Amino acid sequence: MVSIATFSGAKNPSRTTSPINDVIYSDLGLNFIAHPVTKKVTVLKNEDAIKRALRNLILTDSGEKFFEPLYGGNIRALLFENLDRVTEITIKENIKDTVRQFEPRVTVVDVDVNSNRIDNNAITISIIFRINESPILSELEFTVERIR
Amino acid sequence: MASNKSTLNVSELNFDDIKTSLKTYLRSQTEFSDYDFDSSTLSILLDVLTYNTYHNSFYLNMVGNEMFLDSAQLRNSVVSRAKMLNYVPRSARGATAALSAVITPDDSPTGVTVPANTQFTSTIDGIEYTFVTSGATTMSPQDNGTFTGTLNIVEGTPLQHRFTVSTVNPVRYILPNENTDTTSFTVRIQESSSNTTVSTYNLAGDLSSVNSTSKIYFVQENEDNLYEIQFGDSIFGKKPIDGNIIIVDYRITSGNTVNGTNTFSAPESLAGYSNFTITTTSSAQGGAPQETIDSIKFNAPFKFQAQDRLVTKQDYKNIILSEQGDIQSISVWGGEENIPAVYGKVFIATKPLSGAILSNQRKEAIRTSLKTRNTVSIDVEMVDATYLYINPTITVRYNPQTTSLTAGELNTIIQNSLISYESNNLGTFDQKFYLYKMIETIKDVNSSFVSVDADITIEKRFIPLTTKNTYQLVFNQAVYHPHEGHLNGLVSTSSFTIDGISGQKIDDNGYGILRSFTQTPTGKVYRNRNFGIIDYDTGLVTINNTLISAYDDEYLSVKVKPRNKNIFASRNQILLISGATISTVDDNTNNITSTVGTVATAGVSTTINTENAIATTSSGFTIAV
Repeated sequence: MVSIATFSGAKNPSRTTSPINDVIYSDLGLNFIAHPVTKKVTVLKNEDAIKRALRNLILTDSGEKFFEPLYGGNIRALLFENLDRVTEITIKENIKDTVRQFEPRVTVVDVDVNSNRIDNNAITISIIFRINESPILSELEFTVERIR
Repeated sequence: MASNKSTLNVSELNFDDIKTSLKTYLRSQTEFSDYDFDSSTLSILLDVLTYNTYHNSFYLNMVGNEMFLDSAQLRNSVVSRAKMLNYVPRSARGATAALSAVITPDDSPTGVTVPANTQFTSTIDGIEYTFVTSGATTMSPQDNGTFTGTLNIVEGTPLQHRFTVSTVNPVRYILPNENTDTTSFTVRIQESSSNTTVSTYNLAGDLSSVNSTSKIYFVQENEDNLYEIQFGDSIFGKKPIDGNIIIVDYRITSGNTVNGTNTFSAPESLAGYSNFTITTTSSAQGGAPQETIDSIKFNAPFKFQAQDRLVTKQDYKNIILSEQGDIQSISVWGGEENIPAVYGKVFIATKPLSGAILSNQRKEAIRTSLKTRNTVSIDVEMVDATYLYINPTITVRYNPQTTSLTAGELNTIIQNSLISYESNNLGTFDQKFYLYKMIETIKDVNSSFVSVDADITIEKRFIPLTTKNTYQLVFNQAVYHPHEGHLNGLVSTSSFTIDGISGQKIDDNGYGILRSFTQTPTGKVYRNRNFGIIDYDTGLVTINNTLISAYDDEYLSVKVKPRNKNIFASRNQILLISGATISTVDDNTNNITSTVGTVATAGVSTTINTENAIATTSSGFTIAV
């Protein structure tokens, strides 16, 4: 991998419908885009809130969060590693460990690292997880690519 | 959103507490619920808000700290707070020394004057330091055609700075060198570049005697740790006008680095003559670094309390300690408390940071600095510190089954604990020696010690003069004397020579009379049965008028057994431990397993300066220290 990478966002935000009918989790969207109708900051609920939280968690590097140096997925530390099986496994394990440690609301079922877009200097990460209050699996997928 | 009824606790200063407080606040609303999860966006926002709050509270806390003398950390702040107490922190000070010079002119001058700033050098650890004469010295002509005199030299490199006064482009008169010695300032003002008339300005003292034409200047430490000269405003002191040229002569110094040096290299010529000799009469003393932040915090309130007046004992202590950087400890007492009482005087004893006693030059300098501030009818008398040495004999019983250390190693840790006890509890004025405390200190250093026994004698040392003299040894402690006629070696001395008879020592007859004797295989042969007297109650030992022509050690030592096991220093006395003997005994076998005869306490290495050790009092006696 080369240069600095970033997440381009979810390509397929949700494959499943949240079975949770009541609002258990509610959060803000980090990009603070106003709702087109109400013109208020968008409120994310339940599965969407958790997906946002997972992205926040994995995007964060170790040492980036105040007074909590071990917090974060620390994916950026692998920026200059060769994109081989070892790196893929490392990414997977990093994500699994991080989510297990810092996101108590979900259980990670599987993580898939797809390097088919290596010629575009990008990889696609797919996280299949289950919200603890729900029996249904959810998936969060996003691409990491260089920005310059 | 948040309920109006909810309150936000704003007293927290810890990051986690602030964040918890914000979460508690958010619990009063229902719209967002994810504040408890670290990876939520809300938590990230809380982190930012918490950090910002934390940063501000820390900043405000520091600002608050810097506003008060007690809590300020930065030197700028401490100096600024001290300024409000009219306190100028002490600058670095150059060490002073005295040289005796003999100049042999190759012509017949009517007078010889050694100019100011004549440079001498002294090399310490390969580094050359500059000393200069502090002023011009006129030498005294002698019958043999030579000129003699004492040259007072002070360490430092002389510099000169000039500032031109301008109201259009005003400048601050800041001397751009650290380690500037403010006591070396000579401030003059030249009228202009074309008018070379020069006036000397003096450091402002008592403002009550200052008017609009007084030629005075003020010194302040500025925000960059440099010194700034300020002038009056034409109300308090004359104000310089446009075109005036301010000329400042001063020295930058190496502080205490050169203290103790007594070897100086002279310039090639002195007062223009190359045939001369110099002898060091007083080694370098008094050099000190710039006052520390802690020292400023300590001294400024006391200096303010004293109002630059010397009335109480504490006034003397505060002012001397704040102004003289080479003093470790000080003791002050009124003449009425002295033995014998000397009314109308205040006695000051000082212990320098390096060495045992101050040079006469330094004592006179301190005395002079106090003259204008003490009560009119009171004379200041500077006296040397006197040292009372405590000689403990220590026996430690230990259980070898509860320690893996050898007897020698145990002895070493006992020695170290004794040295530590001495440095922590003795060595300055007004200290008290408690035998029990010393025993406790030793007992606590190893769990294998089952008992510690100790006994002490106390010792005075002096260097006999080369002429006949009466000596007084002021122990200031009652001497063990259970009954009249008690003979058990209460007094002992090192060996000395009188009238060619060497190996003489002193004992007492049990009735307060000292006798000199020599020891023979058959017993003592008394040489003088009226050698002196001892007052068992006051501990005053007087040696009658005699000439001691030689003595075995570097000094003559007199030891007595004290009546009390606790020794309290009084007036100019300083207690030290010397000649300690430590034995370890195996508690199982009763065998002595190790004995060390001389523990390296400070009292062993404290030496007595021959020049200053003996001072003649007004009563005509010579007091040993």
